[in-house]
Amino acid sequence: MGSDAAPGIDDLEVRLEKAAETGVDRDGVNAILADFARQNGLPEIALDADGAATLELDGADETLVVTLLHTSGAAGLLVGADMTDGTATSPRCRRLALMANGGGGATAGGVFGLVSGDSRLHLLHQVLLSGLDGEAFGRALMSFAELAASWRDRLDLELDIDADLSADTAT
Amino acid sequence: MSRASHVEAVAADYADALGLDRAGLDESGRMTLDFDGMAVTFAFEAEPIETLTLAADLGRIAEDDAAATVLLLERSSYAFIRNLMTIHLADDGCAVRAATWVPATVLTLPRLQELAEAFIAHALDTREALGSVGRAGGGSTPDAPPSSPLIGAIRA
Repeated sequence: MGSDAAPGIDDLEVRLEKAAETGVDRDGVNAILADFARQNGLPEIALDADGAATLELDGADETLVVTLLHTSGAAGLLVGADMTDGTATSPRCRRLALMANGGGGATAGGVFGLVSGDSRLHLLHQVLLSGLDGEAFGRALMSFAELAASWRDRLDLELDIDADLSADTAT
Repeated sequence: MSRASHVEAVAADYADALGLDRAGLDESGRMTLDFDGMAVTFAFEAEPIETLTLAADLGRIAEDDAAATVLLLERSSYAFIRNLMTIHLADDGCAVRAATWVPATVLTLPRLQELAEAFIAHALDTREALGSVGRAGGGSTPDAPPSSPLIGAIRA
């Protein structure tokens, strides 16, 4: 790792193979997060007792709150973000999200999902931990943030359309 | 042995272990098996990396079924967190599908059996839950899957 080149298919296969053999323990994940924080001049980042951590990423227009979750022995670190900024989703947004879950690059391997009993829509990704260092984690996080920002814009637009349609129906 | 041949051999062993001694991937690299009335297709995929994928149709939802989209998205996060499957709607916006995969490089019979057992159980459960939502006329709140650390983390 540490190269500027994007990981290729061969590299991905090797990482998948390693990931299947051994999980990464919590200390290993914290070491990656500490490396990432050090490289970016951030305060120390570490998982809490539940294996979770929250990061706030400042974008051009808004701040994206990203939740990290590691479960013991897992091959990947789960990365999630609220896509609707606490507002309720519409049926049309939910249908759009479920269609995006079908692959084709729309979610770059992640999925949309709802938290039980909560109407906020989340985008979820798994970052493979095998061979990961702070720099590679930073790249993965930035890719996720860019994808999330793009989807938030699109979903905001859909919610605006739904609001307009509701207003038209009401008049 | 090529990875394609390896996947074929493991798939045939899997079918054999189920008592289907003549089943295996066909010439197009696919095999469809029935589990409690649900067809599960096992397929060798060469791109972008060589994998064995499992896919199942979970039924269809009506275009105006808002409750079904809530249920499917709740189950989507639950299943993704546990590496069970992805749940999605097909391009028509109504057909519900589930899929998972394992890289050919790490495919073994025990691994496939474990993956398939979890996949089929969650797919059947989701199909049944989806049917309940449909029978309720699309207006009921579906039972939520059990909670998870991520859900707690996001709520916090």
